Amino acid sequence: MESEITLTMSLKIDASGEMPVAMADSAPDFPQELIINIFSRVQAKSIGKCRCVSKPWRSLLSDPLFIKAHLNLHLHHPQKHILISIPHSPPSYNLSAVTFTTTSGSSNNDGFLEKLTLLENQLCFAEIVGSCNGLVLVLTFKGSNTPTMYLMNPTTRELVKFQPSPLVWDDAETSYGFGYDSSSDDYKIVTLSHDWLLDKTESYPAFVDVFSWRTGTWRRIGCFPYVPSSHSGVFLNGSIHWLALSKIDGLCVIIALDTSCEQFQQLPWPETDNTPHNGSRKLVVLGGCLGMVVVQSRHHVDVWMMKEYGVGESWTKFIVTTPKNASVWGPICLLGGDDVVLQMGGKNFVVHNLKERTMRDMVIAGIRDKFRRGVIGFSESLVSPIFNSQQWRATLPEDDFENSC
Amino acid sequence: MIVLNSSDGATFEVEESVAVQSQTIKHMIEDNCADTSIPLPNVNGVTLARVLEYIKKHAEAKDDEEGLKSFDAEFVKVDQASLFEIILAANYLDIKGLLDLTCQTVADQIKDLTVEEVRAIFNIMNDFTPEEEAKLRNDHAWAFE
Repeated sequence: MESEITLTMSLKIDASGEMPVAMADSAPDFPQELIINIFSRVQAKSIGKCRCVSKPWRSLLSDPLFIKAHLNLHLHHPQKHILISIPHSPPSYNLSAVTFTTTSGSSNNDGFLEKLTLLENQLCFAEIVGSCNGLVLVLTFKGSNTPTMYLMNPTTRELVKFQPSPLVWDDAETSYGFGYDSSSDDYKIVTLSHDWLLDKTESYPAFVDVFSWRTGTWRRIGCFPYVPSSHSGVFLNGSIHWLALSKIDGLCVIIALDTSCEQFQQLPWPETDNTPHNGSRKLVVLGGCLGMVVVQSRHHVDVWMMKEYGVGESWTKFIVTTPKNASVWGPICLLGGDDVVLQMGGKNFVVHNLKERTMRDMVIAGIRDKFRRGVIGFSESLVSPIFNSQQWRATLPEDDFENSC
Repeated sequence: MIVLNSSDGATFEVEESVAVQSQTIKHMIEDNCADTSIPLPNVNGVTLARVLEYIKKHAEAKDDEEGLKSFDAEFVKVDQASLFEIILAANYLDIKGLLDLTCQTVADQIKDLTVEEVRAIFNIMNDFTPEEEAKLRNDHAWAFE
């Protein structure tokens, strides 16, 4: 880090307003690693405030190394924030963040909603693709199959806009994924594109295009020898995971793309899963594990979790059923060890305790309107989606935004 | 028994099995630097006494999770200067549990403070011009919501 920063101590002014006797004369200095240790534990909003304390503090608390240390600590907290999109005079949507509060708090609320002023009323048919390291990728489609891509940090409200892959045919079916490559400290957006019209003989495979945030360019890395599902990939353990159908036997498979070496591998399927493979399925990350949701009906979903990554025998299942007057869409995240947050068709969240098999409605302050499926959990972080580079500059959405959808 | 000397000449005796919670002391013992006593020029007597109180309690009540939790909560109820001294000592002596506890305590304090209060606690001078500070606060509006 470039700047030196010292912390000098003094006694806090006590309630009587009198200055205590021993002030800064014996005040020692904190080494930088201690300051980082303390501030890594502080939540993002307070860090934002502390950047306004002084110039050395602004420097230190904006430094990429500090941001990384802060991220590492917060990534391991149970995921408490989710991003939802709320229809607002359709076809536009507004984004909001829901934060779940820990149950030890004084309020009766399970959480609260904050409206994000990012791209207000400007998102058309928004699809929330995925999140990692506190960044979320959102696509909007303006009446065509070709999306505009937004990479945002919902915590710091930073936003950057990208163009999709120029290599994809206009009418191709596409699915997307977003992940992080730790070996090159790069974020990658993946497009799987498959042209059904041309693929009558199945001789056209799905293509895989990768966008590198650092270079700002798309590359075609090869073919995807499966039929991709329409759902977005989920990022876990250095790989982006999708569900796909095998071209050989039509069976559903889980494919993982390692973001560093950009190679695909297949993950083991749960052996005892007897549901037909053309059923409605979706991947999700729950408590740091890969999860697969099988929608049996509006009132019944099976949730499989791969407790040990890559180990087929570690797939375990829990079932969620609801009475006839409610419908369940699927799990969003784990809160603590045994509580699963479920998104219910309608406009609420329910917390389901795995041990006791109980369900209860969550009280979220500020939720009034219905919101769409496809909510996503994200971590709190200070990571900026804006990459400053000589060769490539991020286009900020204010530059060329059209207001009409 | 290990003998520890603080920076201001105070002497403390502590069991070796307890003292090795400090990785620094542990390495000194392993490197045979602890023949007569271990000098700790970076820690004063008052602070060293507090640190020893912590590691003694954590050694003897190792399995009593509830008891240690309430001990820790009471332990950090000290004035700001003492808390900072304990952090520095825990860092120098490399006692992970104590360092985590005290750093987390300060982090929790910061959470509820305004910018001015943070400056007061850490005795930081505001070196921004009013315009610079206004712009910075505006850029970080998300932090002040």
